[in-house]
Amino acid sequence: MSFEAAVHAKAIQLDQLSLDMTAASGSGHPTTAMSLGHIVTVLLYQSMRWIPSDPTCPTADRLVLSEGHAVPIVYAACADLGTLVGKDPATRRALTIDDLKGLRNADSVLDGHPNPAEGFPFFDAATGSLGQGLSIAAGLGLAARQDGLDRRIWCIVGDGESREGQIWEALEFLVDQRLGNVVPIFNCNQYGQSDKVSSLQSAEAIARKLEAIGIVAIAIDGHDPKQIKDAFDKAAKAGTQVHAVVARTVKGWGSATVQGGGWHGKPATGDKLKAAKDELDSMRLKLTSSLASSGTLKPTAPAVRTVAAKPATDPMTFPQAMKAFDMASVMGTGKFATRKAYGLALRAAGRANPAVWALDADVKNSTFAEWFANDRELSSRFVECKIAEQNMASVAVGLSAAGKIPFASSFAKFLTRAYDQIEMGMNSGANLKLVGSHSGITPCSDGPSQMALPDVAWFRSLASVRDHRGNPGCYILQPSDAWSAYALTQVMAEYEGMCYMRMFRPEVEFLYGADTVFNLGKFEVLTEGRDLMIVTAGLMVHECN
Amino acid sequence: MGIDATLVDLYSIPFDRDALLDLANRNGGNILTVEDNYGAGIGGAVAEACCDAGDAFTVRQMFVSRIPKSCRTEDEVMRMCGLDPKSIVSAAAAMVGVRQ
Repeated sequence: MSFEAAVHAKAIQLDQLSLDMTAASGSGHPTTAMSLGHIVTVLLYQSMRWIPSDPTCPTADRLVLSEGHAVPIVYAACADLGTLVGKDPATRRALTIDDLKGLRNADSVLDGHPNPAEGFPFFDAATGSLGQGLSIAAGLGLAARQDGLDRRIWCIVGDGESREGQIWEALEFLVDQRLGNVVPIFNCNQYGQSDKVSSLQSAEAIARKLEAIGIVAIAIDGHDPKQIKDAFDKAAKAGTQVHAVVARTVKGWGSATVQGGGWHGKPATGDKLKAAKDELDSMRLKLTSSLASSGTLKPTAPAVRTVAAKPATDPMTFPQAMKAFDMASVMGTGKFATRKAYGLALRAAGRANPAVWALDADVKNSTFAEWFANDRELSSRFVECKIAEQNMASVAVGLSAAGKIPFASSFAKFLTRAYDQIEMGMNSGANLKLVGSHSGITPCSDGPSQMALPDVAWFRSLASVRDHRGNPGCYILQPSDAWSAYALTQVMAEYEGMCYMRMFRPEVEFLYGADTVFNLGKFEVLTEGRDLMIVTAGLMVHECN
Repeated sequence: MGIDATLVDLYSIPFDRDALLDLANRNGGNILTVEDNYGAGIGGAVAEACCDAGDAFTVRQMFVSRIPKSCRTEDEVMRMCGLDPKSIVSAAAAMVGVRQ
């Protein structure tokens, strides 16, 4: 059978499985899945270098499905290829076609939208809250480049989804960072949920916008196997020039019964299901001239399958770091801002652990992440994300998925615009360290546009749930002096899970010394009385003292 | 002033609830929370812990309860939001019935 015929046959098989599994679950998005049948076939059975029996292989290519609702088509391919699934790496088993019927069941690893933490390790992060996947792909791409891995990150983005500003934050980030190892694939099927997409999200308009920011846009028919393969081959030879594939597709391809408006997120059942599958059978006869099997398509494994571990050492203590980084005289003054202690601690953590990365959103001279950025030993692990905090948060999720320990800092106020991205990071099980400076009301002369005020309440809501490791979804840390800020930064670097550290602007006196040990979930008693317990944190400890 | 207060630096949320409430019990169950952000933060977390424990505690929360605006100094914005040392002392005195 020709390559074209094999791809058509496989795509039709996956489309039919998508129809069946969504019908069985009574919900899901079969028509979006069907718009990706050919693209996912060429990717998973040809262009992506990966190993279904080792879905977390650290050198393999990755797929980030930003438009997460299209996931049935990926589940279908993964079942067909016997991809390993399960939460516990020790007891993973091959996904079967029969498992697909369990889509969206409470006890199934096939969640409604992609999520590795629920037992589908093929994916790196939870997606489905639209607009975030490309930033996650960028984080994976940064890590691969830093580790010297020939690893390509493919990312499927919906056309309706590309209205989200974060998609453009991510695209500009790819260009700034020259991340040619990340390949965005736009699935232009023309329909959103309730209506057609705007003409500004047409394939032509998306391609023009991509070209305007310096990305090579490869326009293709997303149901033509050869065009898809040629585009992926071209993108694979990209070097540092970013290439994007813009695919014109049909929502509900192959079945007139489920095409057009009104079919978003709606499974076909009964007669409609039969009609849709029959129409796909007719397409197969037409396009393959036979019912021959498509067994010729197989994924290629990456050439190298393991990565050498880089061991970490113990970080310097606060006084050692002050001395090593030429600030010993400051120790004598007994006063130091918590944000400076953070910058110092971050630098010490970076020196001790090669997995530690720092990201900042154009305020590195305020958060003191610049002390990490300006250290020659560490500068290649610093990422300037510019004024695009949502992208920064999701890039950090991608870095975490690649085994890094990302510290993302900005003014606390501006981190809070990435609430959704942070929550999706928690759902992904990401090892995120978020650091907000200038919290509370101390940016007094700037007013409330620069003050983080609801941040504690919001992060506290995440702290109230248990993550997949059984730990709080987030720890909120509010150091009151330089000793505690330094120590808690090192605690964050060691702990696996999400933390939010809140810092403030003013220089403050030391409250602690080398004898005090700071740990997650603990507190310190500064004075002990009998009448009243005052409970506070951060800068307010000084106001109450 | 005659207020014999315990001062806790609650640098982590979540926190060791039992240890904190034991300490509160050694202070007559009187708790004053102070934070430089909107409500539902430290005060909310402490009140929730007290509520779940079911013992008798008195919790008074101080937090930023108005939308701030720009000021020239940190002291000024603290006063505007009722979080300056004088306001904190008054609240503490009122809780323990000490006349200032």
